[in-house]
Amino acid sequence: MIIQTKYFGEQEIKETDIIAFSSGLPGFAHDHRFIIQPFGETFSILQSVDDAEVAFIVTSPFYYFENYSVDLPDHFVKQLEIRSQEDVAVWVIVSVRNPFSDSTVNLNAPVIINVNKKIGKQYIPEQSDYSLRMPLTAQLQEKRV
Amino acid sequence: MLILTRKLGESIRIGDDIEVKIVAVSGDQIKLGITAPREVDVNRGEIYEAIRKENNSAATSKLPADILNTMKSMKKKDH
Repeated sequence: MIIQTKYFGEQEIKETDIIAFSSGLPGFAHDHRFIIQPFGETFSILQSVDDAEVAFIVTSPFYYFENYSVDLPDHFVKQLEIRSQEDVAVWVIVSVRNPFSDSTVNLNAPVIINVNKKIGKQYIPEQSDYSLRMPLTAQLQEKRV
Repeated sequence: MLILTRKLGESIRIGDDIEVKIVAVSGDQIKLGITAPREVDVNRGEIYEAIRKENNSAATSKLPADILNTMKSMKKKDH
């Protein structure tokens, strides 16, 4: 099917690549279908199939934080029909700012995707030590030292 | 908005399968017991609101082409 995207213009996508977000994401409750497309090596775009303007720049938290971890509660694991670790992809949403060095990443509420079942959901932790706005470049610099 | 008065130990039901019970009251703090099916998400209002705001600001930014090009060309090994 052909869809309109925010960063790649018109795109042909396979329906089998569509990830179902049954309750949307906070602030985007009406967007139930997304796809993930690579944006260079480090970033990807989480694009709403039904609204071209709704697109998040995401990245893997593990590129930046080797020790990042998220402990999903049982009810969340069941909602996403996760059976093994191989089912799970973890993405975090990047708030890109101008200049890029001001950009932050939301480590607090990662987007969890069951890559086999094609079900996704943003995980809202009851408690978390991770920031909603962790500077991205601060981490890059730290790891280069 | 529907506003109800409840006493300690009383509850309200939302639909067939959600119950919110007043478990404890102490000064300006109220402890609620919430019974809901697992597909219903229950979150503290301020936590949900903070994530909603962050999502909105992440999705609505209009980014200049030079920043997007820089991001596209970033390599994993740089990290």
